[in-house]
Amino acid sequence: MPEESNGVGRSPDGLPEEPNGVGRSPDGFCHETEEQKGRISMKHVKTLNTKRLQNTVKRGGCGECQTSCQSACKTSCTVGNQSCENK
Amino acid sequence: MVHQYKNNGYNIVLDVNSGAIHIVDDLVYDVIPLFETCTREEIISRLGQNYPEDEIIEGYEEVKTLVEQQQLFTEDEYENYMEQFKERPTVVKALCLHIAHDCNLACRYCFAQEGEYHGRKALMSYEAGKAALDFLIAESGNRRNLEVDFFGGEPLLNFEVVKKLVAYGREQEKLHNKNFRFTLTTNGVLLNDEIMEFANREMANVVLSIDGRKEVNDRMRPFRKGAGSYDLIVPKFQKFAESRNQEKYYVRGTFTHNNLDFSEDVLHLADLGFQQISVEPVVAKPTESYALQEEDLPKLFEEYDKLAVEMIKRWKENRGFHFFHFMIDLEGGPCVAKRLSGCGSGTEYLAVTPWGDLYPCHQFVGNEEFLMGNVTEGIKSKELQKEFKHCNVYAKEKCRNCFAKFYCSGGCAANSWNFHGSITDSYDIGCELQKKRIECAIMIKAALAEETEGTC
Ligand code: SF4
Ligand code: SF4
Ligand code: SF4
Repeated sequence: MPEESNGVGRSPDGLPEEPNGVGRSPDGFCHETEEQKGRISMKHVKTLNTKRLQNTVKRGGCGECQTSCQSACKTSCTVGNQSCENK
Repeated sequence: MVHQYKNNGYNIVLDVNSGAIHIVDDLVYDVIPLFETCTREEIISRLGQNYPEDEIIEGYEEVKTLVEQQQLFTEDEYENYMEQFKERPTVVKALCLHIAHDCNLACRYCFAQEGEYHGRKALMSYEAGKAALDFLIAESGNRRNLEVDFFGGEPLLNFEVVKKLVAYGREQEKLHNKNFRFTLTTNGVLLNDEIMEFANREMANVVLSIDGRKEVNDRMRPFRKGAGSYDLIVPKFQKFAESRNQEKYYVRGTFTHNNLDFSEDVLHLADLGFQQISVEPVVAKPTESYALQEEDLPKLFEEYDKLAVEMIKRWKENRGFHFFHFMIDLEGGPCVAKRLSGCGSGTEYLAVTPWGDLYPCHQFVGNEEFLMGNVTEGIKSKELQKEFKHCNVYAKEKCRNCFAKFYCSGGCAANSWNFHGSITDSYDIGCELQKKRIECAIMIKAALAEETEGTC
């Protein structure tokens, strides 16, 4: 796995490993079973993430995370890849 | 709102408001657009030619389950929330310090006119920098993490002041219970061991400017007398990246109308050993010869697709690298407030000129209309501040109905201003590229998820 070869322990989304020891594979997903994630298995559909953005409304907005233009670009606003610092 | 598309053999369905992403077969892909407006029987009859009835029913039921689980066709419940959110008191938490309005390169696309920002050459004095850090601490309310980017022109032309300001920041952060995150953006010409060692100790991130292949880089990033910069900077950047363990940096390039085949530049940088890469579309007036044109879009889309496929291949071969614009965090990632409130320019984020004037961000520096105040007297134009504060996704008609809004946050106010003379519009070529990148980023996730399937 790339994590081992470069010793950085980062998944392709560029975010550090979860501190709580939930192993993230190179795709950035947790290795949990479908049941643990509360998914039902379907024949025609595979759901990649069970996240609900709605759940972030309550505790969100603390503003401690990085300003998007400070990260690399200086020309575009890209937030989907920023990491939340309010865990 | 649902966005569905096909890419690299995957049928991808994004439920915009919840962020849920589904990979579906052709049948469900065809059921979804009919689901909200047709009855089950109508769907069976419309798709009956292509699929057996029992399969259609099965697919229909699965779609229904997703809807019941609030993972499809969810509502946008955030507008009121964001209304309230933007009323909260403004704090400043990030500054872009223009430590030098001068440059040792003469990049053709430089928005700062070869480092000088429509104005005079100038270096920031230690006193002005100190006043900027004091201003930031005073205006930051209870925010703990404060960001300061040393930017230019070329900041290493004024490295002594950078060093002194970092020392001052480290002393002040203890007194005020803050945490400074310093970053540096440099063209590499003046990099040496001392600077690298200092940056590795003090800089949370460094951005190293290089465009890619030698001929591409040297065409747009020459020295003032015309010679290219590639040969000088590449070995320095390689050494720097290694000394940072290949993390907490980006090599960062710009693609223009002159190198539409930019995926070659990205791969060139990867082949040079860089693992954190960002190559981005130029921002330029449409009249410039190197500006991206609408007719360039099909070619650019093709390039993103090509790059995505190659990146998947390299990850599978354990020689993957990160491409900034394809990075997306599906399970974690920011909260809704962060996703919808825009880039923070003019409110949380400000740029400071060498003599201490404040502008909404680095792209507005030198445009007198946007002068907001200065570091000793603070924000004087409350009007401008208010205008920027209200500039979130819901203030922009185009963004409100855009599937990319939770990933792009409404785009760049400066681009919008350059193209439309308003900060609440959007730059259309930029939007098309942004949307394409998000589609590719999600596809990469799907492909890599498939790879690890069965390992759980
Ligand atoms: S740190 Fe997390 S919760 Fe706080 S604003 Fe950023 S994304 Fe939202
Ligand atoms: S891609 Fe364009 S329209 Fe869509 S959210 Fe971003 S700026 Fe707005
Ligand atoms: S207006 Fe554009 S360049 Fe300025 S901070 Fe926002 S996204 Fe970045």
